[in-house]
This record gives sequence, structure tokens and C-alpha cells, in this order.
Amino acid sequence: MREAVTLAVVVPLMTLYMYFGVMLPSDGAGIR
Amino acid sequence: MTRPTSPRCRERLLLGMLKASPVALLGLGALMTGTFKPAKACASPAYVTVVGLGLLMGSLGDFFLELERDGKPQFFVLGLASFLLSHLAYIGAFVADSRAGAFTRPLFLGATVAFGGLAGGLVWILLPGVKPDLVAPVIVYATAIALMGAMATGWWPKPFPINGAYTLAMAGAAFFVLSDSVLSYNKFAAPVPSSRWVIMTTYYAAQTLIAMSASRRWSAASSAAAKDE
Repeated sequence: MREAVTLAVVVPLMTLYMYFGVMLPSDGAGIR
Repeated sequence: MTRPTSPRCRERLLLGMLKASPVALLGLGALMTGTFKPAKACASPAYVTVVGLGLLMGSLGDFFLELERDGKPQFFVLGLASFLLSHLAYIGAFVADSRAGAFTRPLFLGATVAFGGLAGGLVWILLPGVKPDLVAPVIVYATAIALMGAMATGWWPKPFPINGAYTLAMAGAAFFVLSDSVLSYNKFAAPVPSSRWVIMTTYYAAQTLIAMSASRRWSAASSAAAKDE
């Protein structure tokens, strides 16, 4: 249960960054 | 030069915070789990707390490496240092939670050779493209992550098995090594197609798996404590 709640919080945040920080930028210098 | 208050700089800071927030939350969750024990007596293993610290250091590294994307190379070294501390924390967690003799077993020695060989080979490929002032940090970092992978494999807590925590940690370490290998090859050797996607998905997977490992480790300790009562 605790793990499910954790994932429900962090996965949307990760997805948001993947969209705004990885997919949208076109600077080509992406790095972790 | 970008002023600190420019829209682009603010956007980068926001992106850095967004990027770091999931791993920071995973770290805070592990720290809270390790600190606040349930009503029933529970021997909360140090593994959980130290992994939490490692996750927080990782989130700091996320933030610095995001700032580096604006062409500020000093943040690359800060990011590298943060991730180095993160790996040292994970190594400390595996050592603190292992029984005596865990790191003399053939399993650990084999993993050390495998991860060491991978890191050594990669460094050998990368070094021609690394600036002289970054050679030492890159070698130190590669050594630390190889050791972290080997330690995750050699980790041998008591009791064992531990509710999947071991498999999750090993998988997390493997994803971490994969992420950093692609990152370093892309940065110092040659462009990797879709590198940003590969690096970030494997990185987030790695930190999530390691955090889940801490959660499972705590559950195993909690169950063991309940049985002892």
C-alpha cells in the first residue's frame, strides 16, 4: 500500500519532467 | 550572459526543481520510514535511512545537472560530486546492512570483476574525449558506481530473503550503471540516439527501484520484529 501511494505521487512528477524537460526542449544538451 | 532573474534562468530553476522533486520525495519517504518506527517495536535497519540520504544527494545532483544544461560547466562537477556522495551512501548502506563475510563471497568478487571491467572499459573509451581537469573526477566517479553495483550484488543482510528488497536493489544498481554509461558515452564519446530519454527513464527507474528496496527492507525488519515479540 505504501509503495503504491509513493508511486502514485512520484510517477506523475517524473512524467511531467519527461515532458517539460526532455520532450519539449530543443537545446540538444540534455543530460541527467 | 544569463542574469539570475531572467525568464530563461527561472525556467531552468523550475525545471531543476521539477526534475529533482520525485527523487527528493523518495528520499524523504525513506528517511521518514527509517526514523519513525511503528507502535510495535521494529528494528529499523540503517539501510533504510542511509538509502534515504543517498536519494536526497541524488536529487541534489539532478538539480545541478539541470542547471548545467544552460552551458554552466561548473554545475557538472557539482552534479558529479552529489552523485558520488549518493553512491557512497548506497555503498555504506549495503555494508552496514550486511553480515560478516558478505564481501568475500565469490558472488561479490565476480560482481566486482564484472562491474569493474565495465567501468574500466568505458573509462578507457571515454578518456580521449574528457578534458584534463575532469579526468580525475570521471575516474573516481566510475570507480564509485562500479563499486556500488558490486556492493548491491554482494549485499547479504540478515534475515534473508528480505521480501524482494535484494532483487530491487540489484535491478536499481544495474539501471543506474546503464544510465550513467549512456550519459557519459553521449557526453564524452559520441552522440547516442534518444540519449535524453534513455538516460532519464533508466535513471528514474534506478532511483525508484532502490527506494522500493528500502521500503521492502523496512517491511522485512518490521515482520521480523513482530515475530520476535
